Amino acid sequence: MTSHGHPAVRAGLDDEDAWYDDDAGPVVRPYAMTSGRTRPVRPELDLISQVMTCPDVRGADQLSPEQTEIIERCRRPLSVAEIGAALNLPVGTVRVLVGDLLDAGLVETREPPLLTELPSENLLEALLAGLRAL
Amino acid sequence: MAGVTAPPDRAGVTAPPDPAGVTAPPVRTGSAGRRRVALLVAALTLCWGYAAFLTARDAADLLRVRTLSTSLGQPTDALILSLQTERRLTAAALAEPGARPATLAAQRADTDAAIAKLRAFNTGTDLRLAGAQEVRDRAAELIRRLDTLDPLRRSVDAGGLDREQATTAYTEMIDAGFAVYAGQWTSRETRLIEQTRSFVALARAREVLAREDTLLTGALTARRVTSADRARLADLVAAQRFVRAEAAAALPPPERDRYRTLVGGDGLTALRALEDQLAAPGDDAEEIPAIPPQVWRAAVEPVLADLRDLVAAGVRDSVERATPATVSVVVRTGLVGGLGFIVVMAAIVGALGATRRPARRPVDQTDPPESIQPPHPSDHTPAAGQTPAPDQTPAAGQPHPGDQNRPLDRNRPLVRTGPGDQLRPGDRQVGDGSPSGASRLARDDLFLQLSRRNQVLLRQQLTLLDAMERRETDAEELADLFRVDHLTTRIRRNVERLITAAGARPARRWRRPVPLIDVVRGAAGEVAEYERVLVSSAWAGSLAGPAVLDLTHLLAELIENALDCSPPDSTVRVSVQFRDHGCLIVVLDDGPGLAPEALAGVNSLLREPPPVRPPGAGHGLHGAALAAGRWNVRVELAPGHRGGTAARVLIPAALLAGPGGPGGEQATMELPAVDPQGPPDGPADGPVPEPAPQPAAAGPTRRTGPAARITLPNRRRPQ
Repeated sequence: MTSHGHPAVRAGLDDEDAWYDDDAGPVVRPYAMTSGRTRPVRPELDLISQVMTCPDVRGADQLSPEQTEIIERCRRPLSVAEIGAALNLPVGTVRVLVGDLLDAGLVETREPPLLTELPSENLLEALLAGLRAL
Repeated sequence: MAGVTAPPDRAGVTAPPDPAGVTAPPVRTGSAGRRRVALLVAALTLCWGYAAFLTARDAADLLRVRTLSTSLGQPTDALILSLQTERRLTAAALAEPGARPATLAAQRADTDAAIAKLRAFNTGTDLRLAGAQEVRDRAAELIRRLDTLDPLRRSVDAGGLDREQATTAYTEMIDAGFAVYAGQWTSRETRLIEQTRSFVALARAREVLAREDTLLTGALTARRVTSADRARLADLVAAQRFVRAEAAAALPPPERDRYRTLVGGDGLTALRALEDQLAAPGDDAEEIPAIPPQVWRAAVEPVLADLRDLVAAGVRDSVERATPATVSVVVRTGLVGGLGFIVVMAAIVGALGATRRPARRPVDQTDPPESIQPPHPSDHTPAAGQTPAPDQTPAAGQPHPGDQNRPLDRNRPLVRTGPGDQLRPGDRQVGDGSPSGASRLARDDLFLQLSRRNQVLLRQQLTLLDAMERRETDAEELADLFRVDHLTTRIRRNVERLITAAGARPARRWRRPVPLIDVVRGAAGEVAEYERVLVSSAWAGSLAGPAVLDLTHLLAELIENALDCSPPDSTVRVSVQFRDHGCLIVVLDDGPGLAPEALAGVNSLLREPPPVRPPGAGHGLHGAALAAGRWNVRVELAPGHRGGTAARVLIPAALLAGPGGPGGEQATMELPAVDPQGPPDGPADGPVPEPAPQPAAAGPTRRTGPAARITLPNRRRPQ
């Protein structure tokens, strides 16, 4: 922009202090995406909860842009933490958004593998023994 | 800012108080200058207040430490010394049944005198000691313990206690005395406090030596050192040497050197040898020591005295060393308090002066950049770069030359109707060269510079908040961070409005289109009760980057106004309708609505905003109208079909990408006619071709569907 006109504008400090597009920061602050809510309606959601879009869900046009993106990205399972990184959003915000999607039946969660699904103690001991033998 | 739906005559009444006080007060009679100056004065006062608080806290700390050390520290110190002596004399007296040495009676009298001084402190009220409650509590605890001293003495005199029991009772009292020093004397850690603590530690090491002294005095006087005595002595000697070395390591350098001299000296060497000799296990269980009590006295007394001197001199010297710093603190307090006060007063006087002259604010909106220029179909001002010099006659269509530079006559009609009267980018009104004009320009310049700096600071703060919000996993903490984020965003809006009103452009700018829904949500996030805003989800299309900031602030004004004018438990719905020539954004509230003539007045102001804000109108209304004019955006208020007010913003296709654009044509768009009754169940705002499911079509508090609820669940005011 030109800096003619008002003396104050002429005094400079105008263009050097301008931030364009991404530099200007997010247009929507994270709190505005959830109306300030930080507690998900589904309290069981944690950082490693695996989220997956329900098979029959197609582009739902009544969602916020962030929720639409979550639906698209979770065609393959993603953890809450990964969604936060992909959307560049606080995990607290992602938990609320995913909680609402869960409530609406658009996504489902898979809890991280339970202890019983992990390799048995015997197997681990055998592995350890094998490693020692090397 | 609550002035949009409020008619000018009742504007000051309708706006509810702003809980955070960030936005301007609802009084609408002031000038734009007053508003700006008030903001500046508030910021200045805040800065000064904080600086004054910091220095005043330092000064108060120093005052408190000084007061505490004279009124409490010294009496406690004297008391501890008296109790130690009385303990030793008591042990000696109990070792020699029948003996009633006069020294013990005299010492008891000394102790009583020391206690009396301490009681005086406890009962007295000294305002300088505000904040030292913990220390006072500990002093009170000490005095409660001292109440057991008289019964203890009577038991001793009656022979009801043995030496060990009596010694322990005295030791407990002395410990309570030391506990007074362990309290928090200042609001924060200073070097003086740190040094004082090391001296207290050395005094405690001396107390261990005094216990050793008591034990041995008793045993040697009784001329019998039992094996139990010997074991206790060994413990005490080890503890005493360890504690003393620890305390010495923390001493400030001058005192550490003195202590080293002491350790290498004859006194401590002799004492160490004697201790080792006495603590060495003897052959017999009970042994009559070869050492008379006088020898022990001669060995221990100089060391006790030396240690005491070292502590007393160290405390005194460390205070002296801190004195230059003290002086500087006091000077700093005076400077910050006094000069800061003068500056703030000067700013207030300046502000009052500014309000006495209804400021003709020269609004110079510099050209919107890059590809998109706001269209001005009826504008006659020259294009950017050809702006006339300040002394040139304004463009044709202005009422008459020079009019804009004259101070505004309060009685002049404020809502003017000439088309050329609209302020356009490229218009320029600067000072008329009169002294007041020049000084006003200088002042405006200062406001602008400071606002720009605030803008940079707020950006840093928001960047920091972004990082903190991403780190936070606790919901409660995150909610607090969100509150800070929201407050910061609201301050940023005010700063940007200030910069816009000063005729400059805020630093946040966009070249690329921004989704309309983000513009609306960004606007909602800039107002106080954003939780009450429901944004319909079915949005497509983007807004041209250069118009984003102006339209964000425009929508924020309308949303805030709708929130202000509706019940606190109702929602404000924002929806969009795409049309051939652009899109229509509707902000609908459930307020009582406006009388037709009030509505007409507001609409006329919105349609034809005078370049200078009329005294009756809110800055928000005026600023919104100017912003709309810059982008050929039409803003209009209409009654909602179920009561309340619908603010309608018609954005031309030229500003849109996606649905509704990019038509490219800058057609003059007519807002659809508004039927005050409205169709009973149709969309809230006139005939709309595509009745998409909009929250605006919902009842006052009803939600439209699951998706709308997902997007912006309506949370009631957190307060």
